[in-house]
Amino acid sequence: MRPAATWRRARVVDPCLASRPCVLRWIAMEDRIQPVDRTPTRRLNPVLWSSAAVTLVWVVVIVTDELGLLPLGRLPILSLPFLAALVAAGVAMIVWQDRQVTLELLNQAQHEIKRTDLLAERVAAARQRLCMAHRDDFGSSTRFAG
Amino acid sequence: MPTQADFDDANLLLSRLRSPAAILPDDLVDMLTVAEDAIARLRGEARVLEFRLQARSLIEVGLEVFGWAIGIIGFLAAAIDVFVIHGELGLFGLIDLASAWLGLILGACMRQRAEWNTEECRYDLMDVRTLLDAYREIIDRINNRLSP
Repeated sequence: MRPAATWRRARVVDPCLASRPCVLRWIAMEDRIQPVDRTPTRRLNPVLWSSAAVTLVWVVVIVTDELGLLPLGRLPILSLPFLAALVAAGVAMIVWQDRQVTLELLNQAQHEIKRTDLLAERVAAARQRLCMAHRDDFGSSTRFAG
Repeated sequence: MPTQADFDDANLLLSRLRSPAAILPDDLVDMLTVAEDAIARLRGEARVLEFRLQARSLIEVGLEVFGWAIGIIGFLAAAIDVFVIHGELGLFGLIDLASAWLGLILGACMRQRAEWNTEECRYDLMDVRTLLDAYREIIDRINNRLSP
Protein backbone atom coordinates (compact mmCIF):
# COMPACT_ATOMS: atom_id res chain seq x y z
CA MET A 1 0.00 0.00 0.00
CA ARG A 2 1.35 3.43 -0.91
CA PRO A 3 1.70 5.91 1.95
CA ALA A 4 -0.67 8.88 2.05
CA ALA A 5 2.13 11.35 1.29
CA THR A 6 2.89 9.55 -1.98
CA TRP A 7 -0.74 9.79 -3.09
CA ARG A 8 -0.84 13.46 -2.12
CA ARG A 9 2.30 14.11 -4.13
CA ALA A 10 0.95 12.11 -7.05
CA ARG A 11 -2.24 14.17 -7.07
CA VAL A 12 -0.66 17.62 -7.20
CA VAL A 13 2.51 16.90 -9.10
CA ASP A 14 1.10 14.36 -11.54
CA PRO A 15 -2.51 15.43 -12.21
CA CYS A 16 -2.85 12.21 -14.10
CA LEU A 17 0.01 9.81 -13.57
CA ALA A 18 -0.07 8.46 -17.11
CA SER A 19 -0.04 11.96 -18.63
CA ARG A 20 2.99 13.21 -16.72
CA PRO A 21 5.36 13.06 -19.74
CA CYS A 22 2.71 14.80 -21.90
CA VAL A 23 2.25 17.60 -19.33
CA LEU A 24 6.01 18.03 -19.16
CA ARG A 25 6.13 18.34 -22.94
CA TRP A 26 3.54 21.12 -22.86
CA ILE A 27 5.66 23.29 -20.61
CA ALA A 28 7.52 25.71 -22.86
CA MET A 29 11.26 25.21 -22.96
CA GLU A 30 12.00 28.77 -21.78
CA ASP A 31 9.69 28.33 -18.77
CA ARG A 32 11.39 25.16 -17.64
CA ILE A 33 14.10 24.81 -15.06
CA GLN A 34 16.79 22.36 -16.07
CA PRO A 35 19.75 20.72 -14.36
CA VAL A 36 23.16 22.13 -15.25
CA ASP A 37 24.62 20.72 -18.44
CA ARG A 38 27.58 18.66 -17.25
CA THR A 39 29.25 18.02 -20.60
CA PRO A 40 32.15 17.80 -21.12
CA THR A 41 32.75 16.07 -17.82
CA ARG A 42 36.06 15.35 -16.12
CA ARG A 43 38.39 17.57 -18.11
CA LEU A 44 42.09 17.31 -17.31
CA ASN A 45 43.66 20.34 -15.68
CA PRO A 46 45.99 21.66 -18.45
CA VAL A 47 48.32 23.52 -16.04
CA LEU A 48 48.77 20.47 -13.81
CA TRP A 49 49.49 17.98 -16.58
CA SER A 50 51.59 20.27 -18.74
CA SER A 51 53.72 20.97 -15.65
CA ALA A 52 54.08 17.21 -15.13
CA ALA A 53 55.11 16.82 -18.79
CA VAL A 54 57.67 19.65 -18.55
CA THR A 55 59.11 18.08 -15.38
CA LEU A 56 59.39 14.72 -17.14
CA VAL A 57 61.23 16.33 -20.09
CA TRP A 58 63.51 18.15 -17.65
CA VAL A 59 64.33 14.89 -15.82
CA VAL A 60 64.95 13.08 -19.12
CA VAL A 61 67.31 15.89 -20.24
CA ILE A 62 69.23 15.68 -16.92
CA VAL A 63 69.58 11.91 -17.13
CA THR A 64 70.59 11.82 -20.83
CA ASP A 65 73.10 14.59 -20.23
CA GLU A 66 74.58 12.76 -17.25
CA LEU A 67 74.87 9.63 -19.38
CA GLY A 68 76.93 11.69 -21.85
CA LEU A 69 74.36 11.58 -24.65
CA LEU A 70 73.80 15.36 -24.68
CA PRO A 71 76.60 17.97 -24.97
CA LEU A 72 75.15 20.29 -22.32
CA GLY A 73 77.86 19.91 -19.69
CA ARG A 74 76.93 20.46 -16.02
CA LEU A 75 74.13 22.91 -16.78
CA PRO A 76 71.13 20.51 -16.51
CA ILE A 77 72.33 18.90 -13.28
CA LEU A 78 72.97 22.33 -11.75
CA SER A 79 69.30 23.14 -12.33
CA LEU A 80 68.19 20.28 -10.05
CA PRO A 81 67.73 22.38 -6.87
CA PHE A 82 65.91 24.96 -9.00
CA LEU A 83 63.61 22.19 -10.29
CA ALA A 84 62.85 21.04 -6.72
CA ALA A 85 62.06 24.63 -5.68
CA LEU A 86 59.86 25.14 -8.75
CA VAL A 87 57.90 21.95 -8.04
CA ALA A 88 57.42 22.96 -4.40
CA ALA A 89 56.19 26.42 -5.43
CA GLY A 90 53.86 24.92 -8.05
CA VAL A 91 52.39 22.46 -5.56
CA ALA A 92 51.86 25.22 -2.98
CA MET A 93 50.13 27.42 -5.58
CA ILE A 94 47.83 24.63 -6.83
CA VAL A 95 46.83 23.60 -3.29
CA TRP A 96 46.24 27.23 -2.21
CA GLN A 97 44.14 27.92 -5.31
CA ASP A 98 42.02 24.81 -4.76
CA ARG A 99 41.58 25.76 -1.11
CA GLN A 100 40.21 29.18 -2.16
CA VAL A 101 37.74 27.59 -4.58
CA THR A 102 36.67 25.02 -1.98
CA LEU A 103 36.13 27.72 0.66
CA GLU A 104 34.06 29.78 -1.76
CA LEU A 105 31.87 26.75 -2.59
CA LEU A 106 31.59 25.91 1.10
CA ASN A 107 30.30 29.42 1.81
CA GLN A 108 27.78 29.03 -0.99
CA ALA A 109 26.62 25.65 0.37
CA GLN A 110 26.16 27.16 3.83
CA HIS A 111 24.25 30.05 2.28
CA GLU A 112 21.92 27.58 0.54
CA ILE A 113 21.34 25.74 3.83
CA LYS A 114 20.27 29.05 5.42
CA ARG A 115 17.99 29.67 2.45
CA THR A 116 16.29 26.29 2.94
CA ASP A 117 15.64 27.24 6.58
CA LEU A 118 14.04 30.53 5.52
CA LEU A 119 11.97 28.77 2.85
CA ALA A 120 10.80 26.16 5.38
CA GLU A 121 9.63 28.99 7.66
CA ARG A 122 7.76 30.59 4.77
CA VAL A 123 6.12 27.25 3.92
CA ALA A 124 4.99 26.90 7.54
CA ALA A 125 3.56 30.46 7.50
CA ALA A 126 1.78 29.82 4.19
CA ARG A 127 0.36 26.56 5.53
CA GLN A 128 -0.97 28.37 8.58
CA ARG A 129 -2.62 31.02 6.43
CA LEU A 130 -4.03 28.38 4.13
CA CYS A 131 -5.43 26.36 7.03
CA MET A 132 -7.11 29.47 8.44
CA ALA A 133 -8.55 30.42 5.06
CA HIS A 134 -9.62 26.85 4.48
CA ARG A 135 -11.35 26.72 7.87
CA ASP A 136 -13.25 29.93 7.05
CA ASP A 137 -14.41 28.49 3.76
CA PHE A 138 -15.10 25.00 5.11
CA GLY A 139 -18.02 23.45 3.33
CA SER A 140 -18.03 25.91 0.45
CA SER A 141 -16.60 25.24 -2.98
CA THR A 142 -14.25 28.25 -2.90
CA ARG A 143 -11.33 28.17 -5.31
CA PHE A 144 -8.08 30.11 -5.00
CA ALA A 145 -7.81 31.88 -8.31
CA GLY A 146 -4.52 32.77 -9.92
CA MET B 1 22.05 14.83 -5.74
CA PRO B 2 19.06 16.49 -7.46
CA THR B 3 17.63 14.24 -10.18
CA GLN B 4 15.63 14.97 -13.32
CA ALA B 5 12.52 13.87 -11.39
CA ASP B 6 13.07 16.70 -8.87
CA PHE B 7 13.24 19.20 -11.73
CA ASP B 8 10.13 17.67 -13.35
CA ASP B 9 8.19 17.99 -10.07
CA ALA B 10 9.19 21.63 -9.71
CA ASN B 11 8.34 22.30 -13.39
CA LEU B 12 4.90 20.74 -13.03
CA LEU B 13 4.14 22.69 -9.86
CA LEU B 14 5.37 25.92 -11.43
CA SER B 15 3.33 25.38 -14.59
CA ARG B 16 0.17 24.76 -12.54
CA LEU B 17 0.75 27.81 -10.38
CA ARG B 18 1.71 30.08 -13.29
CA SER B 19 -1.49 29.27 -15.19
CA PRO B 20 -4.47 31.45 -14.27
CA ALA B 21 -6.65 28.37 -13.67
CA ALA B 22 -8.23 28.10 -10.21
CA ILE B 23 -6.73 25.62 -7.77
CA LEU B 24 -8.62 23.82 -5.01
CA PRO B 25 -7.54 24.68 -1.45
CA ASP B 26 -6.81 20.99 -0.85
CA ASP B 27 -4.44 21.03 -3.80
CA LEU B 28 -2.69 24.11 -2.43
CA VAL B 29 -2.21 22.33 0.90
CA ASP B 30 -0.79 19.33 -0.94
CA MET B 31 1.47 21.59 -3.01
CA LEU B 32 2.82 23.07 0.19
CA THR B 33 3.46 19.56 1.50
CA VAL B 34 5.31 18.68 -1.70
CA ALA B 35 7.32 21.92 -1.46
CA GLU B 36 8.08 21.24 2.19
CA ASP B 37 9.34 17.72 1.41
CA ALA B 38 11.42 19.00 -1.51
CA ILE B 39 12.95 21.81 0.58
CA ALA B 40 13.81 19.34 3.35
CA ARG B 41 15.42 17.08 0.73
CA LEU B 42 17.37 20.01 -0.74
CA ARG B 43 18.55 20.95 2.74
CA GLY B 44 19.89 17.40 3.06
CA GLU B 45 21.59 17.70 -0.34
CA ALA B 46 23.22 20.99 0.66
CA ARG B 47 24.41 19.40 3.92
CA VAL B 48 25.93 16.49 2.00
CA LEU B 49 27.66 18.97 -0.33
CA GLU B 50 29.02 20.87 2.66
CA PHE B 51 30.38 17.60 4.03
CA ARG B 52 31.88 16.59 0.66
CA LEU B 53 33.65 19.95 0.40
CA GLN B 54 34.90 19.89 3.97
CA ALA B 55 36.13 16.33 4.23
CA ARG B 56 38.06 14.47 1.59
CA SER B 57 38.82 10.91 2.57
CA LEU B 58 41.95 10.38 4.63
CA ILE B 59 43.35 7.99 1.99
CA GLU B 60 42.99 10.60 -0.78
CA VAL B 61 44.60 13.38 1.24
CA GLY B 62 47.31 10.98 2.47
CA LEU B 63 48.16 9.79 -1.07
CA GLU B 64 48.29 13.35 -2.40
CA VAL B 65 50.55 14.62 0.39
CA PHE B 66 52.70 11.48 0.08
CA GLY B 67 53.02 11.97 -3.71
CA TRP B 68 53.98 15.65 -3.50
CA ALA B 69 56.39 14.97 -0.61
CA ILE B 70 58.12 12.12 -2.49
CA GLY B 71 58.37 14.38 -5.55
CA ILE B 72 60.01 17.30 -3.75
CA ILE B 73 62.19 15.15 -1.46
CA GLY B 74 63.26 13.01 -4.46
CA PHE B 75 64.54 16.02 -6.40
CA LEU B 76 66.29 17.39 -3.29
CA ALA B 77 67.84 13.97 -2.58
CA ALA B 78 69.14 13.76 -6.16
CA ALA B 79 70.58 17.29 -5.82
CA ILE B 80 72.28 16.36 -2.51
CA ASP B 81 73.60 13.18 -4.15
CA VAL B 82 75.13 15.21 -6.96
CA PHE B 83 76.43 18.25 -5.08
CA VAL B 84 77.35 16.84 -1.67
CA ILE B 85 77.92 13.09 -1.73
CA HIS B 86 79.07 11.67 -5.08
CA GLY B 87 79.60 14.70 -7.29
CA GLU B 88 77.71 13.02 -10.12
CA LEU B 89 74.33 11.49 -10.80
CA GLY B 90 74.91 7.84 -9.96
CA LEU B 91 72.47 4.96 -9.68
CA PHE B 92 70.98 6.37 -6.47
CA GLY B 93 70.54 9.75 -8.13
CA LEU B 94 68.67 8.10 -10.98
CA ILE B 95 66.46 6.21 -8.52
CA ASP B 96 65.81 9.51 -6.67
CA LEU B 97 64.81 11.25 -9.89
CA ALA B 98 62.56 8.40 -11.04
CA SER B 99 60.82 8.12 -7.68
CA ALA B 100 60.47 11.92 -7.53
CA TRP B 101 58.74 12.00 -10.88
CA LEU B 102 56.47 9.05 -9.99
CA GLY B 103 55.64 10.79 -6.71
CA LEU B 104 54.71 13.93 -8.61
CA ILE B 105 52.45 11.92 -10.92
CA LEU B 106 50.74 10.35 -7.89
CA GLY B 107 50.25 13.80 -6.35
CA ALA B 108 48.95 15.18 -9.65
CA CYS B 109 46.48 12.28 -10.05
CA MET B 110 45.08 12.78 -6.56
CA ARG B 111 44.91 16.56 -7.13
CA GLN B 112 43.02 15.97 -10.40
CA ARG B 113 40.59 13.71 -8.55
CA ALA B 114 40.06 16.40 -5.91
CA GLU B 115 39.42 19.00 -8.64
CA TRP B 116 36.84 16.74 -10.31
CA ASN B 117 35.16 16.30 -6.94
CA THR B 118 35.09 20.09 -6.45
CA GLU B 119 33.68 20.54 -9.95
CA GLU B 120 30.92 17.99 -9.29
CA CYS B 121 30.11 19.78 -6.04
CA ARG B 122 29.89 23.07 -7.95
CA TYR B 123 27.39 21.59 -10.46
CA ASP B 124 25.35 19.96 -7.70
CA LEU B 125 25.27 23.25 -5.83
CA MET B 126 24.03 25.05 -8.95
CA ASP B 127 21.22 22.47 -9.28
CA VAL B 128 20.29 22.90 -5.61
CA ARG B 129 20.24 26.70 -6.08
CA THR B 130 18.06 26.45 -9.21
CA LEU B 131 15.57 24.21 -7.40
CA LEU B 132 15.51 26.49 -4.34
CA ASP B 133 14.81 29.49 -6.60
CA ALA B 134 11.97 27.51 -8.18
CA TYR B 135 10.48 26.57 -4.80
CA ARG B 136 10.76 30.19 -3.65
CA GLU B 137 8.68 31.15 -6.67
CA ILE B 138 6.24 28.31 -5.93
CA ILE B 139 5.77 29.54 -2.35
CA ASP B 140 5.42 33.16 -3.56
CA ARG B 141 2.72 32.11 -6.01
CA ILE B 142 0.88 30.07 -3.38
CA ASN B 143 1.04 33.10 -1.06
CA ASN B 144 -0.27 35.34 -3.88
CA ARG B 145 -3.20 33.01 -4.37
CA LEU B 146 -3.94 33.21 -0.65
CA SER B 147 -3.85 37.03 -0.63
CA PRO B 148 -7.30 38.61 -0.69
